[in-house]
Amino acid sequence: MKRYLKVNLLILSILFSIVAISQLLAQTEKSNIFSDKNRLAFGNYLFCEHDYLRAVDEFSAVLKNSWNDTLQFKIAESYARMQQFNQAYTEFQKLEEKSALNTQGEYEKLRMLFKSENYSRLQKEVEKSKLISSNNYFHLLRLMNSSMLLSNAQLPPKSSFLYLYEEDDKSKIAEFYNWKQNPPYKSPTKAAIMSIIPGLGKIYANEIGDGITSFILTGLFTYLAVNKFEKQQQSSAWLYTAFAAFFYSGNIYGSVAAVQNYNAGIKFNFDNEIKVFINERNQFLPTPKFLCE
Amino acid sequence: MKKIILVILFLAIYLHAQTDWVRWEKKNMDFRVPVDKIYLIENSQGFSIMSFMQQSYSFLISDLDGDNCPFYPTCSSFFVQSVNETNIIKGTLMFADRFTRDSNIFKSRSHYPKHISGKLFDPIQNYLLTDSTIIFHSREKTVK
Repeated sequence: MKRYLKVNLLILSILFSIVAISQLLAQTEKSNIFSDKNRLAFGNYLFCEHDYLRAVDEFSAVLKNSWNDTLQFKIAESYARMQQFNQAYTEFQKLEEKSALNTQGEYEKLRMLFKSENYSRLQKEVEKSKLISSNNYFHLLRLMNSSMLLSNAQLPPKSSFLYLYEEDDKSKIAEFYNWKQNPPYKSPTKAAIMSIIPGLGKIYANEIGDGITSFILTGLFTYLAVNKFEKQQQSSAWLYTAFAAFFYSGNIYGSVAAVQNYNAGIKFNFDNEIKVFINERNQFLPTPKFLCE
Repeated sequence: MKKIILVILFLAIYLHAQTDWVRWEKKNMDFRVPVDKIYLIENSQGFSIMSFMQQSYSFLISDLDGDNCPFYPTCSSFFVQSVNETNIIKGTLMFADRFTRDSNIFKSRSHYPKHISGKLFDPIQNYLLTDSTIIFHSREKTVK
């Protein structure tokens, strides 16, 4: 009897397993979690959650099966938001000419060049862009002018430079233009000449503490050297003279270097201010409306 | 039958078992603070006195006195790097300037960026008198 029950139980469990597995298989086939539809929904979710790296994976997997310019745009935008501007540029390039997103893609390519600080290439691309002949050419010219403020390019006359911008922006842009034409740099030569009086060159370069220290050190060793020469103590006199010469020559050299560093700081702050101003205005280019913020 | 099922079960567990326990094995920790690279004057043609002075300073003063220089690289490293990068005369001038800045009696050093080591970042590239080598770092960020 027991044996009969055991055999029955075994047969029943095998039958139950077969039924359960077959149902499970049928279910997974119906709703494949890796279907394009699911991947797309998940990719969009990841994109909106700022998980761009994984969003790119999902979008790319969908793109393998069927071409979709919106997805290609989103992949490029994901790279842009990850600050990988060169990769984003390459991805925007893949948008076809007949695509409805091609114009926006062209804008985005230029935006990527601006963000990656490749200003000379940006200026060349704007000049040969097809969009320059369209009605929206002023977007491109505004961006090109802005990039000229950040590069060593020769600026056009002020009136032709400013007329492109909105009234609200004109005063600030004019300020940048004037700065670029006459930057408030200090002269390294002037600093070197001023350093004839120890420390004065450093004070000119706004390093007042260093200037006074330099004056004290040079003055102290010069006084000691003179004092020792007067007392006919030749060896210590020459030693102090060497120290005085060491600090004096270092003061002249340091004044020139200090002015150069001061000028580098001025340039850095100016560039930063322009970048903040332009980025606040989305590089003067239209932005796509169909993407999550 | 029972035995066969058990064998298959154990075999499956054995084959599919996670083997990432290696990641969690004990690792000996090293709590020693990394020491700055020690710079030596590379081109010692005619600079043997300078090399001797520098090594004497490192051995007799710097090692005993401790890490007191507020700058990164330290003044002695700055001198060695300057001489290696330029020449003995320019290197000495750069060092004279650095020494004056280090001796600043007012300790007004707010215009230097912070280095990740907690010191003030002051590399030799900013003092070579060539505009192209100067790198201006934002004062709000720490230089790595």
